[in-house]
Amino acid sequence: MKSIAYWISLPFVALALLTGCQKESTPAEYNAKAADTERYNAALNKLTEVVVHDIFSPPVASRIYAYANLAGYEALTPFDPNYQSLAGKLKRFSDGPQPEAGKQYCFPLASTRAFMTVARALTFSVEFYDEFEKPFYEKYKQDGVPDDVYERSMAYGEAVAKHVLDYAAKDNYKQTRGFKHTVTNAEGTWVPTPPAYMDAAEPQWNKLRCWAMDTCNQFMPTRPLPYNMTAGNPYRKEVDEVYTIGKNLTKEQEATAYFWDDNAFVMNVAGHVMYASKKMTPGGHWMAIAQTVGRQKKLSMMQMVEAYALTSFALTDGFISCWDEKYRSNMVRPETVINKLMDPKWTPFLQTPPFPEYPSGHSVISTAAATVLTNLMGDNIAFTDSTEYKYGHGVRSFKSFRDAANEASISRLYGGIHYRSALDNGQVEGEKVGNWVVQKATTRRKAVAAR
Amino acid sequence: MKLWPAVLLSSVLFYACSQRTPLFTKTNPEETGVQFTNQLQETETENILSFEYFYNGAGVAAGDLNNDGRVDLFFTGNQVGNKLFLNKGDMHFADVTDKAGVGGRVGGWKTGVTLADVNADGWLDIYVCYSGLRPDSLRRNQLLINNKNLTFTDRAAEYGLADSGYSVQANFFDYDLDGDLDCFLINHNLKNYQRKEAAVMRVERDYNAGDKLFRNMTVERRKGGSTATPLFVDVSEQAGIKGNPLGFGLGVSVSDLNNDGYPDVYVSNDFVEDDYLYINQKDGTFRDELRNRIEHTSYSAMGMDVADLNNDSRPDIMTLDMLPESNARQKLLPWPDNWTVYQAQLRNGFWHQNMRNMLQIQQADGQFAELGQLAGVAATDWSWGVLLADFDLDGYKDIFVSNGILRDFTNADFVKFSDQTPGNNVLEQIKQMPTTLTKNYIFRNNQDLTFTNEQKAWGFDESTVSNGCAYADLDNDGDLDLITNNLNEPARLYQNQERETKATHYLTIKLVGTQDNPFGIGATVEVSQNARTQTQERYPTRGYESCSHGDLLVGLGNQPGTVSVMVRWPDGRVQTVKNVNSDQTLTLSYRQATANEPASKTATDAIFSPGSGPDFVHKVDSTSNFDRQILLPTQYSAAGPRLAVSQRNGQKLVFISGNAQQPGQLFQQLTDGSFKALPLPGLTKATTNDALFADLNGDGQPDLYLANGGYGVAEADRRQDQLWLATPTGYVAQLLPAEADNGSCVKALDIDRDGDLDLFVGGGIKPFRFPADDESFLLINDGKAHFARQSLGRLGMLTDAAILDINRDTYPDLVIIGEWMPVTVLLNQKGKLQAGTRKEYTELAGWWNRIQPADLDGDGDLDLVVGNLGLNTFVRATAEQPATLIYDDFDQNGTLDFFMSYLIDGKRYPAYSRDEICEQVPSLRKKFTTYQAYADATIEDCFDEQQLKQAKTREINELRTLVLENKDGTLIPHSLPMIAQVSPVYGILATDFDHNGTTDLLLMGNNSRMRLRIGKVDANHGIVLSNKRNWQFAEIPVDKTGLFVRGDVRDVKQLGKTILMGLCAGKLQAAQLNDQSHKLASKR
Repeated sequence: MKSIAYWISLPFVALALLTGCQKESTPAEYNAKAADTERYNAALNKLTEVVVHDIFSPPVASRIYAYANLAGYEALTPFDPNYQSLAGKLKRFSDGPQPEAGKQYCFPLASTRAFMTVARALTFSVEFYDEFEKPFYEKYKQDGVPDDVYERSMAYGEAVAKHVLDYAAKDNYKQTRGFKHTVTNAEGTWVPTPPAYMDAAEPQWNKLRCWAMDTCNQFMPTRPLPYNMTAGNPYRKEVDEVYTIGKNLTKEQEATAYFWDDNAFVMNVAGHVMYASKKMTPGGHWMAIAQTVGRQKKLSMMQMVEAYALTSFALTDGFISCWDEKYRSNMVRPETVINKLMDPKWTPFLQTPPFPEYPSGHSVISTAAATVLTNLMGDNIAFTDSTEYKYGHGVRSFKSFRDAANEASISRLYGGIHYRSALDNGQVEGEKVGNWVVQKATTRRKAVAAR
Repeated sequence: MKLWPAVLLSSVLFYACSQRTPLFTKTNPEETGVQFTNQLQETETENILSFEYFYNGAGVAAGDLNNDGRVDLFFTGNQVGNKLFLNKGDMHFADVTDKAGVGGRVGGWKTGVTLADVNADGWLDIYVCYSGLRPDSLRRNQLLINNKNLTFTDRAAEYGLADSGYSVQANFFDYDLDGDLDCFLINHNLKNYQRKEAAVMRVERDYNAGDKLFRNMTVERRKGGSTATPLFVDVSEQAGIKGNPLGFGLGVSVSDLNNDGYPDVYVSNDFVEDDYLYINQKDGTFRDELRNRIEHTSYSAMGMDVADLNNDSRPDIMTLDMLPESNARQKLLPWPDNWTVYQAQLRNGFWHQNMRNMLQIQQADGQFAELGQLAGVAATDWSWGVLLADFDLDGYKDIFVSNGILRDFTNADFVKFSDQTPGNNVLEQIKQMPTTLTKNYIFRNNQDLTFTNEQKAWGFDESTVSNGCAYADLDNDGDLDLITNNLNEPARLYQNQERETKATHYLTIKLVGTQDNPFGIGATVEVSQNARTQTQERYPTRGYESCSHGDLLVGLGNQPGTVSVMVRWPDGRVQTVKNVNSDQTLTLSYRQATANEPASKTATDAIFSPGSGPDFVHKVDSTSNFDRQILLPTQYSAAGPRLAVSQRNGQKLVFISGNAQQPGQLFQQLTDGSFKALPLPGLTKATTNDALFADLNGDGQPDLYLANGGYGVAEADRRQDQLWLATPTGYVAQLLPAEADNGSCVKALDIDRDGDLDLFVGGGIKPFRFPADDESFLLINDGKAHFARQSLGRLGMLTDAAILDINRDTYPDLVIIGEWMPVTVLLNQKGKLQAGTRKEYTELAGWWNRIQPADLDGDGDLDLVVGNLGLNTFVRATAEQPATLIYDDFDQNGTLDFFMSYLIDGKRYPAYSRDEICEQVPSLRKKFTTYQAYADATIEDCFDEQQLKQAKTREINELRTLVLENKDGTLIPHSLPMIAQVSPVYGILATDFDHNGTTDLLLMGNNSRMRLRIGKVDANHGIVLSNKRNWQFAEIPVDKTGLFVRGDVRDVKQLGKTILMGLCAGKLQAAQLNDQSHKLASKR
């Protein structure tokens, strides 16, 4: 005769079998394990890998990071009472699905699920995620997340992702596809640049809905120096500076320029043989910097996701603001001017990226990102950035986020792809964007902020 | 009609025959003894990444080296030694390399080989080129002088020909006509420079990369000059030969391309550098006149050949490129099709170049029309050597192309997604490049400017990697055998079975030249048989890195009989031999030639002579319509200028349509033939698509109506049509009903037979919304030029209309045409036109541009000439395999997405690359994450069933320009000679040009602004077709028409004896119709 204990234990045995023989954990136990910051980091790094493979241009890449992190953030906020949804704080972003009251959730799982769902939807080579996700979600089960909680959390993450994707569908991205920038060949205006003479990237990017900003031209930089190649003219002086620096680059300047290249697609051409070197975009690079310092500061998952989200908003608003100006001023690249009027054989150290010169995108977005990160993690945090190492770009150390942003900015002058005023004015613009994001996208509840 | 069964029977027999034995059979190397493999060893230091030309292969030369009457074979090896095979007869060869001492310099990288009797002793010598990542000492070219005993000695240094540049091929010919053979050498660079540097590099001279011309000083020495100088002297610079570092010469052909008796040189250059067409200036110098004579060239031009393909005694040019033929490979390998990049290339000073083989058919002295796409020979994959020769002996030269690349390194997935990181193992990286073998191509000449691919029937159904190629009658049986030098596989010897299997006739011609040129290099031979004349020039350097130095061989078809042979030696002496029997070797000696060419050329009066027209230069703005609709087939903004003429009351008027760049202009022709501008108050800078003179207020004066619009005109008020009434004091603007349609054409007709002229205005493409169409409408006249608008609805993307009473009910009817629509008749129902009662000729659905009524059969009613896209693009559409245009806003983003596709084996393949289609509908990038995934995708793979069901589809099945016979109100199509299909037709003039009582046709057109993949179509320089009655037309050659106009003509109108041609983005052209034209012989 079977004991009563047998009958009681049966369902548990079955459950244990189903969940891979883990023993049931308490929410406190499994959430502690699930809230491992490195899991979210791994998901983000996987996204970067796909962004690099699929060759997204810098603005488009920033948009992908922003929606994925917004989803990751929104699905995680119920986990921490000190944090709040960004509904009503980002432009036209409304309240999303709420977790069911009284039910248990593993919000860290919901968060990574939401992140991955958006990442999958906005990128192309999804087979990269397939192999990643299988063992990835298995870990949460090993943490002891009960099946029903697992399913519910996954479903919640997907619901948040859907809410974010619906939001994404209305940002005009789709409407701006299939148009090209019209090259007029007027003196001093942008024309396609060697060696690939690619079309200008994203000529209608300013039509995208802003994130924290009210309008795309809210932080319009001062006017660029008017094109004038008369000797002694301020514009001419800046051209001369690019040329002179380019001709006398030091090893250190070369290393700086190369480190911050962040060109998504460099075509290497040897006769008919061509192959592409692909790298993180500037946005991807700043996600990686946030990760590096976040790890160093031992940020909680909530803090890390907050950092990613706010940084990516700074990046997207930075790109919208910057691109708005790029196609307004439609400024010619130094390579074009120097080849035409000064030295037909001069080639910049970096390949000129395919869009108008003013202002420097890296200056705008790096400063915007650094401003947000400084606000979140503090100033004067020294760090070593080895995230570019695997792209063959070495390792560099910085005194602070701002120090890194300053170097990213000046690197474009060394690289021979920007004039100095595009750097300086771009940095001013980026700082304004960053501060605005900090001010508008308030992630922490007032009580916390007041404390 | 009685002929048909016979033709059918013979073609069936022919087919059955060719089924049994292919024209060429591959021989077994062990049986022939020709055992040679150009084997490559890839190493860490020497490979395709370190040396761009690592896979370029090597050459083969065919010539009789021991004067035993049999053609021997010499192969070069890049890394392996060269080989010489002595022809022992009956397709048996003996390897005599070692004894002959011709294996080549150890450690050298051998490339091209040329046979020439350099020391003029009657024995062929061998010149071998060297290149590669090797020091200078290993790169000196070798001149292997024939010791007359099957041994050879390298005497290049002594002769001044030991050039150590990166050499590809030499070509020996007598450029200064002093009697001895000079040498043109093509070299290449190691580095592919950026095109932005071109301007500076073009003036540089690079010893290693630049081409060179060496002058043979034999004659000068004999005359008492110094014998201290080397025999050959580098005269490149003073002779005007470019030697810049951009040169990547892969082919060099010599021919008298402008028919002035002096040999000219064409150099085909790989990569971005233009090809060079060096015209001999007859004073020891050359001038590159490519741009004056050739509209566009291959981009990465490889090998080339020059010979007369259409038997008009004018040499034609074919250059090779890398465009694959199949849909899948076209989509896997990137195909440069970026308007912006192309414009940058032009701005950087390069000529029009596109990635495909180009077939340049000579039209007049040294003027060429490119019609490779019409001919069907544009895409032969990664091609190296081309040979133009009559392989089936039918009297027309065919085309052989050797091709293949060891690794498909331009595979787009490799380029974009192999994710190479710097520092990876080089050999590993190379191994990742996919390998695809391809079949060599062989095309039969259809004798009508088109060619048929005979890969299968002629025995080339084998995938190989072939580089060098040569032809020669190796078994002395009267047909040409083929030899290829292959990479990493045995060289091939293909035996021609034409003479073995059929009684086809031939004539072999052996030339015995002068003391300094024993083989008669540079002589021209014409063989005339009935009405047909075949021409061959004796320049043996042909194919790629190769040489075909056998005797000349002429195919005479299967009709027995004698032929007449004329030879013209380089110095102009000629000899004609009549009644020559076929199937033998005819020896022609310079000694028997007479000094002067018989005066055969009598000047005939041409139809046209140069005329003077109004001073008007049409301009187009530089904005690209592709910025707004990236898949647009052409730049619709670059339209016009159409012309309107009036000859009422003896007053000759012409209005030239304008656009936003400059307003149109009204001119009056004065009695002295000159033109005077007349003011047209209120005329703005509107884009006028069509203009019309007609008396609209019944005062007997020509009023002027302008149909305004424009694809790129966004402002509605700038599309408003305009009307001016002629008054005694000048033109006065008259108000019209408000409209904003993109009116494409305007015609006057008294629709209601009330005695005044009403107007039809056709609607064209909706601005920025291709393929949506704008409304067409009637303007009903109250007799005083007050008009009431009657909408006819949307009738299609109309381009033109014709008025004629097609059903003879005395009410004028309307025939409308347009892009992607059938020829459509709108019958006038006793004064009413209704779109609902239109008759669509669905079998005549085309890409129509112009329509012109004319009585072509002299039966008193009006027939029609309809100008279509033509066949000289890669677009194909027939009843069996129509082209389709499917459109909808598939991704619901507010823009119209449209996709042109072709039916291949019942499947609809989109006509765009993965990048293009994904740029239009970005969600497709998710479906096609690789180029491989898209390579075989059909339209059905791109969209789901529901989407396709909702989408609209248009279909076309006829691309030819046609004449339509009006037979009791029904239109019956008749075809025109193939020459009418070489370009889109935008201008039609019908009149009796040759004064034989029938209405002839002048067709003009071209389109230089189609998307690059469709191509710059520019082969029409003014085609005059003589009406031979019974719907037969024949081309009148350019030298008899006297008309040669380059560029995009958009309208042709006649004003008295003046022919006016509206040139898009150019000066208005004029020609004078001569009064006393003789009856002219037409081409066929």
